[in-house]
Parts: sequence; structure tokens; C-alpha cells
Amino acid sequence: MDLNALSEREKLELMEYLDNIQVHDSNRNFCEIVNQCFEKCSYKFKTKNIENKEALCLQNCAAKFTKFNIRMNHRFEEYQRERHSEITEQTKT
Amino acid sequence: MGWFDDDAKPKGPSRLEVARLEVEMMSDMYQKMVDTCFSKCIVNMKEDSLSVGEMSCTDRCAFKYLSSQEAVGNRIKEIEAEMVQQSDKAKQMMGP
Repeated sequence: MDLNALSEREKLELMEYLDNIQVHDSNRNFCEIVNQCFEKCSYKFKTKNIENKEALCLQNCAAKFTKFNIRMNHRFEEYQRERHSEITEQTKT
Repeated sequence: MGWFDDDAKPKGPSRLEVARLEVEMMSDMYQKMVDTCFSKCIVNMKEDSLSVGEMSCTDRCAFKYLSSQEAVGNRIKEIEAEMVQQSDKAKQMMGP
């Protein structure tokens, strides 16, 4: 999809849509972190309160996921850049 | 303007809609990639930072996932093209 084919107004609308999607994504991301970390950390239900081990696990998990997400983002952008330059190379030849 | 007006055809998605759908798809795919790779690579919750092993796993998982997406997409296109060809042949054999 060639973004340059869009008019200025369309580009603006797309930017707005991107902003909306980012809010949607950060909410969804939060839900996913909670889900994954609960799955990894809470597997005994002896009590209803979070035990110390579980609390520590949740802390570490949340921290790890956030760092992980940032790293993933970099790799994703890298890949897109590489593919984009490969494609432009191919279309030149 | 009526039910039998030939000009009243469904227009299909506009350019902007197509761009929006593509953005949505990329966002969905990115999220799924993050979820899958996290559950496969990050297993140990004893520290709050990624270990070297986990970082390597993350990098490889990202690359593999994105390459897999391409491979799957291309294969689907191939199969669909084959199916269209087969369906065209069948129509020809059935005659006018």
C-alpha cells in the first residue's frame, strides 16, 4: 500500500486513526501483560491474597514484559526497514 | 435511481479504508507476535531484566514470526491462484 497515493486529507485521517489505534493498543497490551503474568505467576489458590512469591513474580514479569515489548518494537522496525529496502532494490533492477 | 440502476454498484473499500485496514492488520499481527514470543521466550520470573538468552530468543522469535507471516501469505496467494485456475478450467469444460 503506497501511502503517497493518499491525499493530504486522507493522510491526516489516517494519522488520527493511528492515534486512536495506539490508545486501543496500549489498553490491549495492558490486558495481555496482566493475563500472561497471572498465568506465569499465580498457579496455587490456597488463599485469596497474593503471596509474597507471587507478588515478586508479578513485579518481575511486568518489568520484563515492558522491556521485552520495547525490544520487540525495535526488531519489528528493523525488519520493516530491511524488507522495504529489499523491495525497493528489487523494483529498481 | 432505483433497484435496477446499473450505476449503483457497491464501490468497495476506499483508498483510506484500505490503508486503515492495513494499519489495523499490522497492529493485530504485532500484538500476536509479542504475546506468542513472550510466552515462548520469557519463562523465568526471578529477575526483573531480560537475560542474554532471553534477548537472543526475543530477536530470533521476532524475525522468525515476521518471516513466517510472509511465507504463509505467499503460499495462500499461490493456492488461491491455483484454485482460480482450476475453477476457470472447469467452467471452460462445462461449455457455454
